[in-house]
Amino acid sequence: MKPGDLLVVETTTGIAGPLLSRPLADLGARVVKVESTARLDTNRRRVPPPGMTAEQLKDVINVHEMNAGKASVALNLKTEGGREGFLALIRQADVYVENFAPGWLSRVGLDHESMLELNPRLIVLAQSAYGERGPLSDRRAYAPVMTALAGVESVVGYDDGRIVPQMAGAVGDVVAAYYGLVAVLAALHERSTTGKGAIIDISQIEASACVAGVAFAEFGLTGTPPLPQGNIDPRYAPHGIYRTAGDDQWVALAVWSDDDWHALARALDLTEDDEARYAHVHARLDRRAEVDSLVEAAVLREPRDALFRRLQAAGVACAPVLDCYEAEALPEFVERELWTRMPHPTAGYLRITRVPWRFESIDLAPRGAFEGIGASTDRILTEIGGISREELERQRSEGAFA
Amino acid sequence: MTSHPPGATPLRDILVVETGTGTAAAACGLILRQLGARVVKFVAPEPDGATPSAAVRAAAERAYLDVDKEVVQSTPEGGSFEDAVSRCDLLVRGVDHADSRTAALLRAEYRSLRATNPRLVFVAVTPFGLSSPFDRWSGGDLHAQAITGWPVFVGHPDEAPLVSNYGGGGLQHGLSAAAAALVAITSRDPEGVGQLVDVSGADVVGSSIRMYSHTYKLYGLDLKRAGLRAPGSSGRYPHTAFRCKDGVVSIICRAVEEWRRFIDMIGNPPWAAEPRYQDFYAMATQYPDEVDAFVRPWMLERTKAELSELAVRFKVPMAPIRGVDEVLHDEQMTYRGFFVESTVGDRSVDVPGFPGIWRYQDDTALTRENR
Repeated sequence: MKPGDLLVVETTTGIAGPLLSRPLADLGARVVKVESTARLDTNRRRVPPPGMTAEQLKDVINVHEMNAGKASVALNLKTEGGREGFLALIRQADVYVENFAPGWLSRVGLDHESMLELNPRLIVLAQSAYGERGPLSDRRAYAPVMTALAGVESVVGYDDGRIVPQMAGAVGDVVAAYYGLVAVLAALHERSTTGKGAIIDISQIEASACVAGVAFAEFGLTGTPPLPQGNIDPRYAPHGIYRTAGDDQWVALAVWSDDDWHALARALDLTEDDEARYAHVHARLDRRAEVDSLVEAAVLREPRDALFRRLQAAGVACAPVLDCYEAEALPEFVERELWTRMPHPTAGYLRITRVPWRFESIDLAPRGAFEGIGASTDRILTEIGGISREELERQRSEGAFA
Repeated sequence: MTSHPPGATPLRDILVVETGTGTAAAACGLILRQLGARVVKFVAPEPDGATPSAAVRAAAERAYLDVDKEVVQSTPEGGSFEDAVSRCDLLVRGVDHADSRTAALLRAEYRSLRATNPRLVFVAVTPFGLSSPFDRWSGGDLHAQAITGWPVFVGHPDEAPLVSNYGGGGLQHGLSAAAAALVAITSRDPEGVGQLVDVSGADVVGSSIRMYSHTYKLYGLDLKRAGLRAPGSSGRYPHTAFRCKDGVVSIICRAVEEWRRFIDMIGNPPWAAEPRYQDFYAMATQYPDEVDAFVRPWMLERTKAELSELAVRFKVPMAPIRGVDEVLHDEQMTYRGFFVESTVGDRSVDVPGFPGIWRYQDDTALTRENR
């Protein structure tokens, strides 16, 4: 079965869970997000900034970045009717993704094993901070805490050893989403020959630790815990981010060969003596600080964008360091259509991020705005779940669809 | 030791050829191997004369990224390469240092190889992708990260922005490429043809940035470096790191209830009862330094271990920034059998395995817990 033909059911919140299935929705899979008004997705319930109501927050852009193309079904899984509706969907589903705290589903009578008995072809993907079972499985964490526990942040910082963590970047969420996705796709591949589903238990802290995999290996080889190295690569010099003319303007610059060095030295108008002194890679690595000082002094004289264009024209690997708004406007990204327009029922359209892959012959694009909570409850439960209208009304009267 | 989750080799019938350069392609191959694919990696002979620190980094990359692969020292022009490509499902082609010739070169390679293997899925893993106008740029992972908006919010305001180092950017790029590769494999008809898949590092990082920029726009904040703190605390307090007695701890309270538990944890000091310190949003965006000044001395008096214990007891989302040496002894990861052994020369090192455990309906004995 191709990813675009799948039926995916999810009970997810935050980034890691919803982001896992967004590419499947963009591939054309039917993705049904089961939500509850009693416990909103965190994307729908942030702290309202001044001038914005909690209700308006339920439709902010991040809700769509994580959930574009998905249908919303409102079910209260703590009610019998809610569980019946949910299991009616699970019976038909190919994939179920959840990121409840471990044990929550079991407490309402919906454990993974029972789902697999109900639907032996089902692929269950559970994400949690530390994994479903084990001595610390009850620990809760958010992304910056996960990457701290995973060792990732211990190697982020400056080359004098100062740690400066990536507090704003939810690395632990993004990698957990994509590890979960590759696991689901691999399980689908296996199911195509065995007919069997599987339960896959992803630990977000372990997924985060993979980001620091090279640092783990380096520790094993040297016996010394690696420290932050700034933007240095021990194989190359210069290699880093350098301040240019202008307010907080920088370029990323790397020299990978002795030929690159000569091109840079000439483009920056360094003296012939300096060019010759650091002509060999060992000379540059041995006296990295001196080389960096030379480069810093030279690039500081010129505005970022002019310098970047000029160095690129000279064959030097150089790029401007952009903020996220500049990045969105960068013609190269615009032409590559990393962001695209997607219709929205009230806003007209939204500018939304595309999944970052380019296929020769697979259609991959956002399929529409995410719905309001429960907008498709009746339709999905009747069409997919096979529940009659009369039964729906009974369940509604018992508070199942909240 | 095998690197895949015990009892699970869902890609066992997939043959992958990995070639080229860079941590991203190697990470893509690693993840496919971890899921059971047979991965044959063709590598060029390494140049002599690396400095000691450069040699260590190269060895560390091999130790982690090439675990359990069949590594063949040869050039892509060699006969064994052609034979492997003619039979493989996937070719992962990495370029770590791109220039103006890269896109044309890879497209030509794909056309040539497809002639011998029409079912081939060719995954190009490059810094900027294969389509104009990025394809004229010279650059690598450093540059791909630089243009996305990521480094500008990591670091101190008066110092250089920081990229993800130690191959972290490459791992994320390779992970995304592995997912794309599996989409192409699972989308291929039984008798169908393969295709070219273009996964750029700039796109991968750029696509993950926008969810942050939306949040910052929402709160009217600048997504710029703020040192140990998330810029503007991302609209809630605290979202920062504090130095403690023996290191650094990371903390994020996303909801008012978590802030209240945090206050309980630090002993309900009188200042916390003032209305000024009840305004979650204003503390985050207007006077976080003022609140930090109250909290910092309390943190500095405690060790990472003490703070870990308190975080668990009071259910506060806070944890020490652990070194990789500490993580290797993590009780939960050990229980799950997460780390695997890798051999480089005569050395064995422990590296991360796949971050997931598989269970099948009729195969529960294969779980790690039951071993």
